[in-house]
Amino acid sequence: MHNTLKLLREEAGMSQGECATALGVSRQTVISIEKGHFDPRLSLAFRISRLFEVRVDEVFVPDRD
Amino acid sequence: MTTATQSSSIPWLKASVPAFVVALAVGAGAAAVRTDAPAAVVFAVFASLTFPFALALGAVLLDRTEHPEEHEDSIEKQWTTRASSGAFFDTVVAMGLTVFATSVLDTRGAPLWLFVLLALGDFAVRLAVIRRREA
Repeated sequence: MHNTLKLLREEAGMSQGECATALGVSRQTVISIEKGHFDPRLSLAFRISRLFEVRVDEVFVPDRD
Repeated sequence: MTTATQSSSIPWLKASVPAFVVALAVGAGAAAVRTDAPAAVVFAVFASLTFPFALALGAVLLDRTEHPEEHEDSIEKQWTTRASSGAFFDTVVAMGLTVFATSVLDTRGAPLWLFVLLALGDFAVRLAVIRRREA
């Protein structure tokens, strides 16, 4: 699964720390999601989509097999 | 700031009375059973050493602080889970190999504290490696 979190965050002019605070997670979690090391649960995925006002499938895109 | 400090110290205050009672009970129990030192000394040593642990345990159990982060959503939680499951596997293997070796060689097994130490060290190393690799 890859994601567009970094792109969305940068477009919104947010730092990783600000994004983490807005989502209620640690900065390390945001970094790990952006690097593709961590796929969050649905609850966090929806919080991310709400934060950037996009659909979940615009943030998280499954890899093609 | 003052409110946060006060609220964080509440579990410690609440835990202090039961911890004191537990420490007295352990001290009294040890003094009643053990015969290797005067009863007053045994009581003092066991009660004073039990109190901080009972206090810490009580504070942890009574802590109702609401943490902002949902732990299931955090990478730290995932790192901890992966490190602990790896350490558990290693410890079970080490214990199995030790039991096998001691039964074949007819020697005494390694003491339990050695495996506890191995598990803790293994967990710490695994956690550090995962954090370093993925941070």
